[in-house]
Order: sequence, then structure tokens, then C-alpha cells
Amino acid sequence: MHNLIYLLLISILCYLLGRRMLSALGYVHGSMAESVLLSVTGGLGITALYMLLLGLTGMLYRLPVILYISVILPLSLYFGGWRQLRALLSGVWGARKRILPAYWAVLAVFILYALFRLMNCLTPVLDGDSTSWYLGIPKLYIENGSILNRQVSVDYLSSNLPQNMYMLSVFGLLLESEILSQLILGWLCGMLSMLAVYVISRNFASRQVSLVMAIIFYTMPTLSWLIYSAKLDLGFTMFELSFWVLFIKYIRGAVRKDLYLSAVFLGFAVGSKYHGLIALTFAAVVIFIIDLVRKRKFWKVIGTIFVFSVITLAVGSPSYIKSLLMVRDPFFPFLSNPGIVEGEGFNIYKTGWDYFRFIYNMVFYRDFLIRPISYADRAIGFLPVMFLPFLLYCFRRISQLKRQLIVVFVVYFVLLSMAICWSVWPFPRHFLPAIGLMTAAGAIGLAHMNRIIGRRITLPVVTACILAMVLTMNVSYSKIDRQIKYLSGSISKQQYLEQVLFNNGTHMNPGMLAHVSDMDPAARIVTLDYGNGFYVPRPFLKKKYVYLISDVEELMASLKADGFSHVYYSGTNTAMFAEKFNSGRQVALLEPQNSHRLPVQYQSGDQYLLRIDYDQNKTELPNQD
Amino acid sequence: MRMLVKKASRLTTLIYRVLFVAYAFVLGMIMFSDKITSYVQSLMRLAGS
Repeated sequence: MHNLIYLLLISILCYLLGRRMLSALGYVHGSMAESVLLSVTGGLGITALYMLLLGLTGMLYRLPVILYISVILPLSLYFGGWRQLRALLSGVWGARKRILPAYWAVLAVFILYALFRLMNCLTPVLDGDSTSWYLGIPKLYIENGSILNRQVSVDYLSSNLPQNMYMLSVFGLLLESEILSQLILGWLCGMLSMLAVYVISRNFASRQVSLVMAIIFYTMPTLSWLIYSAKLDLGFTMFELSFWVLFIKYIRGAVRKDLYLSAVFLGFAVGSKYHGLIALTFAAVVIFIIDLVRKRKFWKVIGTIFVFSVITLAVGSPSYIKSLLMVRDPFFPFLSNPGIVEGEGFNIYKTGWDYFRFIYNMVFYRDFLIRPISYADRAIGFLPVMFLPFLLYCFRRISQLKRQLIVVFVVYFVLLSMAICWSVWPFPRHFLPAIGLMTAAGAIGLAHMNRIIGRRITLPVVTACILAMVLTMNVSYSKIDRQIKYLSGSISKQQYLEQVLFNNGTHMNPGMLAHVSDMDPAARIVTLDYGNGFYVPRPFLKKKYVYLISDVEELMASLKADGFSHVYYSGTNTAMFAEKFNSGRQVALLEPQNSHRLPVQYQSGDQYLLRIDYDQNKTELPNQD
Repeated sequence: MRMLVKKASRLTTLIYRVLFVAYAFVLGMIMFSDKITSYVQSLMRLAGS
């Protein structure tokens, strides 16, 4: 319950703070949806920068965070905030009258699904990536009271990536718990991304049609697991789509204030994920072309692009300064050690033709036609692209401005998806902003179909497809009963985690966790298994070299250099990781002749904790008889 | 003549409607093929037992 109240407070705080920032920057508040989107997103961006400032100055403690809320919220409410909130609530209440009855079914599906996801997000975080990195690293930041820590920087290479979303994760952790981080990074950012798709879609279609497209975006399988986790992709998508909202305004109206304001949001996106830099490059090219077509002077255009880029990079710069200070590479690892980005064997797309296969794979989660495939993400689903063929059909009949926007969206989608296709992690979550833009553009297709065959056919079909997608692809039924028990207070957090996570084989089991919590506080564990260490009470790290180095002396030297005292593995999963990283070859540490170097300290089920004995520096010869 | 045009227009709309539903159905079949297969297999097992 505390988490929900905090989420509400944070949303109000960000709304009021962001609104004030936008007003100060000269933004003229447009529609209610646009104003809410930009205000809350702007507020979240400012909060992330405030946390970064605390992190850089070694003040990452609870008190400054409590002060932030307890000072800014009352002040904002006093200076016009109440009035703005009342106007917002009455505006939202009044908006229901503008929704035609025919759309209530699809809206009801969305409301029920969003509430279901809210229920999910109110339970402890289970997602592997979140417990490994996006909460694991913030936990260490908080323990150190700073983000400038050499050990964290070396232990977790991903701690040298853009920090904005990590900082919002820290914000949730410091204020209440990892559940609040999940609510902010997953649920709130998911809702705001959806709102952004709605606002962008309003450039092409009516409220109702835009609402349907936004719901399609929110219910696509790729988003379903991102909403129920504390990953950074949704936050990045939210910031970048907010940038697009204002950038589209610039394309439409050529008001430079909109462009410079959009740069602030792009700066938040650049500070959240490197992919924002692709949007910056693309936007610069679009500004160049559009302004030259508008017959602006060449040097004025260059000046505009320069100011736009400077604002973006300045807003995104704190993360890059942090990386510069820690690893002497603001774009880590691309300038210092690009070879380190190897991925995990998912980079299967090599040729130009593979691009079409990639798109098909991402949309349907199938190889042509229905052969199953597997990748570490979920499908986009056919709904976001379903109306694009109809958009092509009526392309010549829409206004020139809309055509321009569609061309910009398509080119951006193709460029970004190609960049992701041939990268080491070709997953849809990495080009979500482009998917959002294409979904919004699909509104033209849906509106066209509504005209040709009538809403009586399109809406039931779309609603049925959304419902089928939600019920068969998005909702996981296995944990619902235990989630209800946890939320109703029938079981404790510990019991819940034991039932759904600790005993499922991909995490340290309760016996092993109890043993680890009694270990020397200086102990450091390297895992040959999954590396989800948020709930593990000692440093719990994954190092790829444990699979790759076959010379045990070299391996021991590397472990010693990294200060590891123990090795953890399980019989079930370690073989899978060895298969993935080392073609199935046994990990050198586990070979029988090296067992004297790593005596078993504790065993629980099929999980083992080995103590590293650095004094045993000779390899025993195998038995000769 | 006007009646004929009206009827042709209705027929065209009907064809569009059928095509749209078929289009959504095909996309759904591709997307949910494994779910459908597993449901059919369970039904077959049930029928067999």
C-alpha cells in the first residue's frame, strides 16, 4: 500500500514539477493528454538528474530524497498546484463523455489489463535482468552513497552505461523498496509511453482511433514483461516518444521553441540509453532537410542544429561525465573497448535479406511461416502493423503534412530497426520508440477501414485480437493466486519470494541464501549460474571468463585479481551456460582434478558454494593407476 | 440503375468486410499457431481418452 501511495505522490510531484519547468521554458500547454505527458515525463527527467547530482556528490541517501519530495510537493501545491490538479481531474472526468459507446469494450479491456499489471507490479520484482542489473547496481550505489565507485564500475560493466533510469530505480529503492522502482520504471513509464503514442496518433486521427492505437501499443507482448519489471527500456521509450511529440510540432509549425524544448526530452532519452544518440543524428538530418526546403539560410539551419544538439547533449551529459570519470570513456565501451560487446549468441541476422526475416520474427515470434523460434524478448504482435497496409492504400489521399510525417516515421523505423537487426541484441525492446511511431501512424489505416467497412466490424475484430493477445501471450496465470495472497497479507514477502522465485531453480534457494547471509561480510561470490543478485546479501557477480579460460592457473589469477572468495553454481543451470558460452565444454573450475582448489563449503539441493583456496597453487595429477 | 449501384456498393462493402476479417484471422492464426496446436492436441488427447 505504501508503494501505491508513493507512486501517486511521485506522479503528482512530477506532474507539477514538469509543468512548472515547461512553463518556465515557454511551452504553451496544448491538449490535456499532451500537457500531462510532457509534464510527468519532464518531472521524471528532472528527478533522474537530481538523483544523478546526489550520486555524483556522494549524497545518495534517503534524507535528500525525502527532502526533495517533502519540500517540492507542498511548494508546488501551494503555488497553483491544487488548481492545476483539480483542473486535470475534472478534465479527465469530462473526457469520458467524448468516448463513443462503441469504444467502451476496447477501453474496458485496457483498463482491466492495466489494473492487472498494476497488481503484478505491486508484488516483489522477479524479472532476471532487473534483479541482476537494474536493481542490483542501484543497490550497490545506495550501499556506497555514491555512483562514483571504482569497484562497482569494474564489477558491473553495465554500470558505466547511461544512468537516468538507474537513478529512477535508486529513487524508488531509497524512498520505499524495489517494488516502487518497478512501479516507476515499469508501470508508470508504460502508461506514459502509451499516452505518448496516443498524443502522436492524434496528429493523424480522431480521439477514439488514437486511443485504440495507444491500447494496441500498450498490450503488445513486448511491453507486457517490460511493464512487470524494473528495466530501462520503457523509460527510454517514454522520453524519446515525448521528444517526438514536440519534434512533430516543430515539423508541423516550424516554431523553434518546440524544437529546443524537444531537445530537452531527447537529452533525457540520451541520458537513459545510447540508442537516443541515433534519434539525435536522425533528427539533425531531418531538421537540415526540412529547414532547407523551407528556404531558411544555410548557416541559420546549421546554427539551429547546433543549438538543438548542444541542448540535447547538455541534458544527457551527466551520465557521460560519470563514465568519463570512472572509465575514461564517455561512450563506454565504444571508444575504449568495443570488442567487449559480444552479446549472447542472438546475433543471427547477417545479410540484407535477413532484415525481412528479422521483422517477421519480431512481429510474429515465428520463422516463416509458423516455425517456432526463440529469442530473449517477446513479439511485437501483428496488431501494431496490422493497419499499415491500409495506410499505404490511402497514402495519396492524405494531406501533404501527414505524408511528410509518415515518411519521416518510416525512414526512422527502417534505420533504427536495421541498426538493431545487425547488432548483438536484435530484440524489439531496443527499437520501441520506432514501433510506437509506426503504431501511431497506423491510426490512419484504422480510420480508413472505419470509413470503408464501418466501426461495427473493425472494433469487435480489434478488441477480440487485443483480448486474445492479452489472455494468451501477456498474462501469466501461474503466479496469480500467490500474488493475491501476498497483496492480501496472507503470506509475507519472504514467503512469496520463496514460492515463486527462490525455489524455481533460477535463483539461490532459501537454504543457500540463509548460508550466504551468515558469511563473512567481505565475501565475494562469482556465479557460474544465473547472476540475479539483488536478493543475495553478498556481492554476487557473473564473469564470462569463468567459462572461457581453460587454463586453471590463469583462471585462479583472474579470480584473485577480482577479489572473489567463493564460487556458486547449480547442477541444473551451469551446464546450460557452459553450452551457451563455451560450446558445452566443462568449466575448468569444476573439472575433477581441480576440486582441491575449490572445496565445497555448502550444498543445498543441487546448488553448491565452493570456497576458493588460493594457497593450493598446484594442480593435482590425475590418478595414474 | 441507382438500385444496382447501391447493391454493388453494398456487395463491395460486404466483400471488404469478409476480407478484413479473413486478414485478421490469418494474422491471428500465424501468431497463435503454437497455442492453437497445443489446444487441438489437448482436445485430441481428451477425445482419445
